[in-house]
Amino acid sequence: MKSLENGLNYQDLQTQLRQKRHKQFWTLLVVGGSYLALSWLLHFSNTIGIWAIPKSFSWLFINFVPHAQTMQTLPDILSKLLATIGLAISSAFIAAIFAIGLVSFCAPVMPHYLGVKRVVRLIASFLRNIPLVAWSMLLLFTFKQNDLTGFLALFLMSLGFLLRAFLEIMEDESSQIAEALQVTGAGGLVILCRGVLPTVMPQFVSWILYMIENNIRDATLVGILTGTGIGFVFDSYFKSLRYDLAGITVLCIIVVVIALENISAQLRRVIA
Amino acid sequence: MLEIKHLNKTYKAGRPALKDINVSIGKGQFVVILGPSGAGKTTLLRSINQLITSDSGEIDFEDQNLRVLNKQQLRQKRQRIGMIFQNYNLVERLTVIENVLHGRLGQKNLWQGMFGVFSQTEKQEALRLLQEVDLQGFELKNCSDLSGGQKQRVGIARALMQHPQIILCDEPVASLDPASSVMVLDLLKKLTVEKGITCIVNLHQVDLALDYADQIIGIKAGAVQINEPKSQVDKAMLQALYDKES
Amino acid sequence: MIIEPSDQTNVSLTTETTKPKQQKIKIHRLNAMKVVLGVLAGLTLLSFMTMDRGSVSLIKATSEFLVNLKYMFLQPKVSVNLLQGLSNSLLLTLGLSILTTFIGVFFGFIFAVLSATNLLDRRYTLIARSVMAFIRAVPTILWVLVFSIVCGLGINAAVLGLSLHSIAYLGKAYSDSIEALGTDRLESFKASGVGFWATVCQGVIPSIKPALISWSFIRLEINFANAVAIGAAAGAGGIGYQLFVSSAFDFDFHEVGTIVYLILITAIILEIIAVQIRKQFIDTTQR
Repeated sequence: MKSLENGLNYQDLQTQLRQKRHKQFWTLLVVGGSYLALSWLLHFSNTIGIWAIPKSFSWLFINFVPHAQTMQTLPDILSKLLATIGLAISSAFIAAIFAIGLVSFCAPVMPHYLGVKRVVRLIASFLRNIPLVAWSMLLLFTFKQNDLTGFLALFLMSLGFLLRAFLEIMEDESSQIAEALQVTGAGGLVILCRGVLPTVMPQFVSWILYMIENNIRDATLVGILTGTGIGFVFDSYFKSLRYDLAGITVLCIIVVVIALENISAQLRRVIA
Repeated sequence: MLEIKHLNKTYKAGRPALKDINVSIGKGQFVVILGPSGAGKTTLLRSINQLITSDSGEIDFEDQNLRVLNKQQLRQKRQRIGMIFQNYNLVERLTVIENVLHGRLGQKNLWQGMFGVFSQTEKQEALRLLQEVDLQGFELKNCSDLSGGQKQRVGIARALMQHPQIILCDEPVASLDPASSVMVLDLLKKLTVEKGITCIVNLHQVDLALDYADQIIGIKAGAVQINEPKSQVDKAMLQALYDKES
Repeated sequence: MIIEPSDQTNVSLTTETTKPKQQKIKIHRLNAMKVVLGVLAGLTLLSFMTMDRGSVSLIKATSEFLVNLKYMFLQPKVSVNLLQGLSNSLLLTLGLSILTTFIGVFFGFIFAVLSATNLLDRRYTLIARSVMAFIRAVPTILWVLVFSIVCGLGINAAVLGLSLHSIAYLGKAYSDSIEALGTDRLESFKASGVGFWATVCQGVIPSIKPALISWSFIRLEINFANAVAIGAAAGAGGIGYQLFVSSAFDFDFHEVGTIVYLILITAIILEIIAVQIRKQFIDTTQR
């Protein structure tokens, strides 16, 4: 009896293994096949692509190297960089204020919070999935070429992202603490301010820091599109073939992004 | 002082959670609710202060049926019923004394409550309560830096800050080590004896229940099976309570 | 015993503090988070004060903006001819994002293994980590522009730029998941003499499969958004380029509305797929 059972198990095992191997084989085939099909459909040449990488990097290291003249323009670049950092911070911070205001209505102690939550989720999805390009161009058209345009574009994007993140945190974190203050007889707003917000705030701040990092990168894109900030600086040097200056601009961006990444990692450790 | 009459509660799945509960609890009693997990202990405790709305019956506390109060009246009655939780449910990011003062939030108007404005006398009382639960010197620590036993004592101080007639304790020692458990239960027992506060405690440790309880309520499948002073409870009754078959 | 004057003042101070009437009892504590928020608020204010707002009247601009928003979202219009072109370029953008995600997943995983400290010595991981941090610090659009010098503006530069960033992003995400496994679980493989890549394939991949899949789909979402963006900013084609043309050259916000709706619907479908797949994988791992 026992040996029979073992025999059955052994057979089961074999078929299972075979099925697994089949599955792996087909997955690989489908993935590889669709990769080749996509390359062909998009006219992407893998050979050109592979060769372009070392070529581009060697080009980068030859042309992007700054020389003595470059340094004269550095203060100008730095001031634009500072303004861009300012934009990244202020857009994330103001977006956070709006986002906190909106998600506050989604705390479990607020009346009708389930309905409100659905609406806020919709707003978030809407804001986040409308391309940054669309916001930038639309804002450029009416607010013209200035920092405010960049600020507003980043603000709208950040608002969408932060809303979704904050909503999820609110869902995960707030019900227990809300209950604890409910039993003291406190009302919804009081529970929100004294219990829910203090509990979720550290995680919110962590997201705000992440948003600032991300905004610096996005600011480059927005800058190229709307002619503002560090993105514009890079774009104009790049297009006028002043590669040394474009190089130093990129270097500045790299330094700022990596520095911000490290600072926020440190801050998160302190806050958490 | 607390009378529960014909209390019923059914969850959406159709499974009755509470079936015709009739219980009477006196002042200054240490009442332990026992029963297998899923029997409805937590549901019963939470229906008392209306964290869970029950379907029918009466919960009479201070001559009023809590089940029929409007929002405002309920909030006032809730101030008289403290509660402590298995996971302490403190605002971990705030200081110990702020958490204790939260017991007063129900008595604050909107603005004082939102910004956490407390009077000098309230702060002094909070300090005194912290002494009472043996946490002097911890006032300005963040709650996240405390051990489980310490957190639960902050929870008790917060409940005391409400000047409660009753403290509901939902598995207060389930997350604690044995030494801390004893300390917390000793503290609760002291409150019943010295201040005449009624404690209603969900426990799953029978031995602890027998050590501390004045009255034992045994619940099984949503119905009351034991409702006796401790002296009347014997081993056979407890065995029947936890027996899966009957 | 000699009591020094300073001690005496201390004593008198403490006796005073025990008289509770005079002393204000402190209940709050300054913590790091409040400081961070304060600094951010200050920087925001500073940035607002120095911000170049141009000479546009805010009220006029805002009302104009709202009117254009109305054109976009409430009155989207498009000619039938263009719609054909639009759907083609939408497919191009979608294909671009899928292709670059494939590349990102494959090379990203290799980089992740090379930078996981629980698999390799810190000497090697440091190199892989620095390379990835460098690549990630440069915005995608700049990579595309750099590649466009060598292989010209177009699909090749777009694929390379997007892929490079995906590799670095997924490399970081995957390696964090690998490191979350800890060393213990992998030690059993090492102890039984399993080779390095066999450990990776039999030990690492099965354990972090849910994380691998959810991060890959998150990146697909990001790549779609990025593909739209570089289409516009680097002229790399696709729906992003159409969006750029109709908003920057034609000023036709009805048409922009149609394009935005197309992008929005695609992005939301991608998001729903990602959420569903993540849910399924979390469920199966819990079972």
